[in-house]
Amino acid sequence: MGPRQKTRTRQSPVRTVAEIISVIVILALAVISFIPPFHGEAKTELDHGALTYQGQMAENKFAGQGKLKLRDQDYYVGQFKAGRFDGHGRFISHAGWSFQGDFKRGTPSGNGELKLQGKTLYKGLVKDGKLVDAN
Amino acid sequence: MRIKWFSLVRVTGLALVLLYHFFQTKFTGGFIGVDVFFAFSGFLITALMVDEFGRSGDFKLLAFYRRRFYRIVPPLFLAVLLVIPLTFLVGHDFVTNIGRQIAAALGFTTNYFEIATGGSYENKFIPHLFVHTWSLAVEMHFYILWGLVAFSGAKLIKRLTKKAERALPRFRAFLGILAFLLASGSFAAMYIGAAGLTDFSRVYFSSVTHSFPFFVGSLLGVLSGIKYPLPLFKSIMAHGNKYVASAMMYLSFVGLVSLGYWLKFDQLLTYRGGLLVATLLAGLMIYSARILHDKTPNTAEPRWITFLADVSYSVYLFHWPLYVIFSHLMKNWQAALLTTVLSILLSALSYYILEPVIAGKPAHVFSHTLNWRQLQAPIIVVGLALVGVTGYVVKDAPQLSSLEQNLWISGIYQDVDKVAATHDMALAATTKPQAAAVKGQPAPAQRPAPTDLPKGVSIIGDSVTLGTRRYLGEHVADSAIDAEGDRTMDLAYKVMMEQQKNNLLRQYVVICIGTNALDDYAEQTMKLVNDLAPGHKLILMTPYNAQAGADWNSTRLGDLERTLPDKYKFITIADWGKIAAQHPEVFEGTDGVHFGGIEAGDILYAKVVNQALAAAKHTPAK
Repeated sequence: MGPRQKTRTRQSPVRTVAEIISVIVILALAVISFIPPFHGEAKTELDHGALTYQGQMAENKFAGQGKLKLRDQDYYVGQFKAGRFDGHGRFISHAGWSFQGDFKRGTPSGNGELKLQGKTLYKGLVKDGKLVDAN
Repeated sequence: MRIKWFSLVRVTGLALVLLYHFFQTKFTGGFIGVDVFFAFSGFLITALMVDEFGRSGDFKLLAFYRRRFYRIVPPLFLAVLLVIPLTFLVGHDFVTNIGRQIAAALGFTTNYFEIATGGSYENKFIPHLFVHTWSLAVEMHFYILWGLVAFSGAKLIKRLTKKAERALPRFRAFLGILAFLLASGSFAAMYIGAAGLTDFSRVYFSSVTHSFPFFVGSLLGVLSGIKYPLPLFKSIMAHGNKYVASAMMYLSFVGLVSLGYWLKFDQLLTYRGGLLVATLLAGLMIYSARILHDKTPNTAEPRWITFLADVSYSVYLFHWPLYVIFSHLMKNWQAALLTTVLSILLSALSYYILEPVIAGKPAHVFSHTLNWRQLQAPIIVVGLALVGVTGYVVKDAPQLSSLEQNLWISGIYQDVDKVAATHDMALAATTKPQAAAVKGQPAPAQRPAPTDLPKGVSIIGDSVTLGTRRYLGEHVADSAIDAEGDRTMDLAYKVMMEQQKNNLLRQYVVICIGTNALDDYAEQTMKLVNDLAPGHKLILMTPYNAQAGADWNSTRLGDLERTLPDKYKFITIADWGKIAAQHPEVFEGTDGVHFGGIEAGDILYAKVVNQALAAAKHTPAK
């Protein structure tokens, strides 16, 4: 190919094919780079199996509705965002208490109800994890 | 025709970018080097378009695309393939999601990939290896568009112009008007889009908002041309002399370097004029070089400058991933030096041998001539081996970095602790109703007497604390930890004040903040020291970052904190910044800030906190 190139008027078909393939590869890679990471229902484990999760995932983290179980059988079922409790959810402790209400970036915030052995301890507004109303 | 002094423009652009990356805290505005490259490319491409039309009365689109393809694509593929094996030298976290990064780099979409992912917190600590290819994406998008513009303009003008001598001025006017409109539109989009942003990635990386330097360059290219200068430009050239041209070049160079010192990436002014001024200075430098070329027919360009200009594109491609890797293995100056030398060597190999041979041309190396036939076997074998290694690295790469995963898991446990704390409060409220605030009435005591402070330790921390939160909680007696990524001193202040207001802040307050120190770190720290209620003892944990120089805000914050106990007796220092530096093994394979996941780090961190708490026992309370 080399020395003949100097006098060529048309390039070799091999080179043309190689150029076309390169362009196709580049376009394919461009498309691949835009495909979002896995999004959908999944079952997964974290922290060497101490946390088990079943539910919606996006960008490799919990996102949307799901259920997260801890090793001590405590569990959270509800909304997640970027892997953290966010939105409406319910936390059930093995010790017999539960919280149902709203979370913002991992902290109870919004309306919430705390129960112990089925009896309501508190129902009302919660802000940054703190009780705003007292019954 | 090679315009002699253009090499200086290229070398200036490269030097600005390298200095910016190597010394980001000092040369904060060096990113304008990319705008110098952009303006120069716009100028050169458009001047050559004008020349081609002047010579042949036509513009061949496919040939234009092919030339751009051979100039840009092979060096890029080579750089990616040669860099990947070096990632074995650093931690696995550096290749997190590397497949998508490579796809974006080779698919010329890095700029949009970065807009989508670059803002994430973890990327501050583990930079993307191919983030710098964002500029190639914008460049490629410009070439595709501008080639189409020139092609349709040439066709249109050929059809509509009967007199041949009128065609070139019309082609020029067509390109000039469009370049002006596109430059104005792109700059206006950046100007407007930058309003209200704190993270400017969106306007910085987008091809729409950051293509104006190309079009400004194009406009200059239309106005001057190379072989066919406009009459106005001819008369400027006729009246100019080499001293004036050199002085202009020098002044524009000084202007660019000054901007490199003054501008900052996260400043609105950068997007509302800074980049434009840099582009115009680059334009002035290009014009002066063009004049100087004509005025110095008997002076040869120094060969080393020609050499650096030749390899500048590949050096740009290699320097960033090499620097990211080396800066985690050695001191900054060593990393900068090794990066520069190795980038230049690899770029010379790429530019003088591999690129011509791949393009089907002979390569001249010293007195030897090499061609594809001679080199095809080694190129194919090494190429395939590198593709194999890259495939392996991509397949083996984690989706989330261990840093991100570790912070995420710690965050989940913190969420659980927070629900439990809310439950504890409700339980306490039922057994002691007076402890809870009653709606509509102020709490009985806004601030408890010092003796009423909750016993124990409140730890307020950032991502470093979050990463070791569980171990710390188990090993610091009677502690409550509130840690979050990207927490600066002002945010820690808010957390502390909120806890204080709600009588949740315990007697010992440990502040582990500073990895993300902003410019107002001193003011924010003093606010926290002053507003802490009487009765508390304050422990300040100095930040540590293996890469931080003495002029980094995080280092300065540590220095400030160490001076405080003399003045404020209730303050004790937990000198993480000093002790961590003595234990590099704790940071092996990490970003040099977060040791989360390394047990020795957990132990050391808790030890530093506990020692400071023990020392604080003997200090007076505030």
